Amino acid sequence: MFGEKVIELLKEAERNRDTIDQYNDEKVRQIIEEMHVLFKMNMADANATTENKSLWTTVQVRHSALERNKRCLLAYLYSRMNKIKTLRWEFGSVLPPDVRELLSDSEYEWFSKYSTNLASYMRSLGQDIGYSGIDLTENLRPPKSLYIEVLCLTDYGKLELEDGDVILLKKNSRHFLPTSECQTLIRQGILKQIM
Amino acid sequence: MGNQSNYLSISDILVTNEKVPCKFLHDLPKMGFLDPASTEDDLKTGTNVEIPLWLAESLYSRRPPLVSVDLPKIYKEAYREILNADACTVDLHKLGQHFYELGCYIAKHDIKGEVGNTLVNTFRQRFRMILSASASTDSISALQPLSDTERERTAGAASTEKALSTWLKRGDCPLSTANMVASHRKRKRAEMEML
Amino acid sequence: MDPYEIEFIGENRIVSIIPNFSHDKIFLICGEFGPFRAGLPMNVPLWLGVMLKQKQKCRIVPPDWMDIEVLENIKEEEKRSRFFTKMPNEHYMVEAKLILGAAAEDIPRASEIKTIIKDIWDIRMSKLRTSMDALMKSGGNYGRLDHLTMMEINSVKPLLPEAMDELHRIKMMARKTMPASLNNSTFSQTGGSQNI
Repeated sequence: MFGEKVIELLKEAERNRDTIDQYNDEKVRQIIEEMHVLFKMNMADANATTENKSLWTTVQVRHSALERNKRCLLAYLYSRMNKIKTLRWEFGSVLPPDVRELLSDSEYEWFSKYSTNLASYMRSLGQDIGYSGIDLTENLRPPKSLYIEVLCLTDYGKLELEDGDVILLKKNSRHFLPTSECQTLIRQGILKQIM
Repeated sequence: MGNQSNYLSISDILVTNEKVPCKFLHDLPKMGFLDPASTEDDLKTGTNVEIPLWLAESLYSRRPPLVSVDLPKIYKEAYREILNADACTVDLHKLGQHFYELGCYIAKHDIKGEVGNTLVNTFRQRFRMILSASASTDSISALQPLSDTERERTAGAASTEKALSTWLKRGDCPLSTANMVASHRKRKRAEMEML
Repeated sequence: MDPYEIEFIGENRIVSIIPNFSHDKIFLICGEFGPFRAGLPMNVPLWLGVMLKQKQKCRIVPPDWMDIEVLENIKEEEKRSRFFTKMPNEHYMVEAKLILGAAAEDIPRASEIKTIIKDIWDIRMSKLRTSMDALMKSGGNYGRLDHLTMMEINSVKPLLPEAMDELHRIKMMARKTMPASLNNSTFSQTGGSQNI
């Protein structure tokens, strides 16, 4: 049957909505291969239609199958692109290696460009009122207090605060920090707020 | 979310991948493989075979149409009667995961024009199932008889409900790890445990 | 919307406090407040009132509606009426939660008040569910949301608007015929409209 492989690919993407899977290079290649075969068959049959008019329908049917495969592949890439956007907002501009390796080379290139675009947009914000940019990935929830208590979940290393102090973030260490300086680390799962 | 006829929507692609019974009205050269029961090269006039909706629509839209499309059994008179009497007794997860979406596509092949009304009636009657499933504590069994979009709608309603009851119960809400970051961590942990 | 975002909006409502310190006028994005005179009642935004209370810098004056008799009347009216009655305050739940959470000692009969507000909320929420179901069953094309507060309206999102959209879509789609091909031609029109 036409277009079955590509459906497996999409079902896979639908199943894990909250995570991104390894880019399925092999399957994408197979599907494009299938499309080449269909295209060649169509070329041959299209040339033969002068003798056999009824082949014309066959050509059209294969053509719909080609269109279908194309649509499905694009939908696969598009759904991954949306997830890659989310990666930028949630992990930040530097992806952990185990997440980075889930993307294809072109996807990673897209991620970098998106990331740069977003960063320069954020830097441009508020310049007319004297700010040197606004980080839109911060304050996704209305702020409640200026300082919060946090627990460090991993051995992160040194963190330099805006006032110049340097603190060491070690696993299981507790800190009392300005909300604005630790909320990104909380979203990245490095710190955890303690109530 | 039910983005019908949206080119890049994976859910629409899965809906149009559902199989529908068709009868071929003309011979179709080299397409014998569409009928799993046949060993011939060509598909013969009069063959009855189930094919994906996207293909059926493409064959149906030729002038003259190459196939006539029949209704899948859930849209036929027998089921319509049950649905119109009490739609809540029907297990749409088993009988029609894409009941409404596929129904919208298939309605035009219903000569009597009654499928449309059945869809609307069914939707109206079953809304209360979504209401009670979203408030249910036993979420698995409450979801059991729901179609795919009904499940999605229930999940949306349940998360609103949960956010509201958290808000009612507690004072401040701690900042938390971003969704995709948390999901990837979880998956990684699960993979580590399997090794 | 997240309930905490609605709380944030509700926190801009003005409440009356009695500060125990004196200070000049302060200038905030949402307006000027003060001067603060120890012992004299004054108006501030709810968030500021709660913050000062937490630092024990003021007493919060109970809002007029936070009174057993007033609330009993509202509750009776809410029970009696088929429709939603008008609440004394667009953000009554936010105000109740924050004030009773931070300043229960400033409100006479605070725990009774808490219970009765919760009763009113519960009556309205169950009314809301019943009327959603009735709206769908009767096939109404629109629902009236008169007198519902922001937090209450938010509690039926995304379910109600989505379900009504879908019902509308089914009505339209089931009537008209489909475009000839499912896999091309719609790309340019709708490709950009899908989001995460």
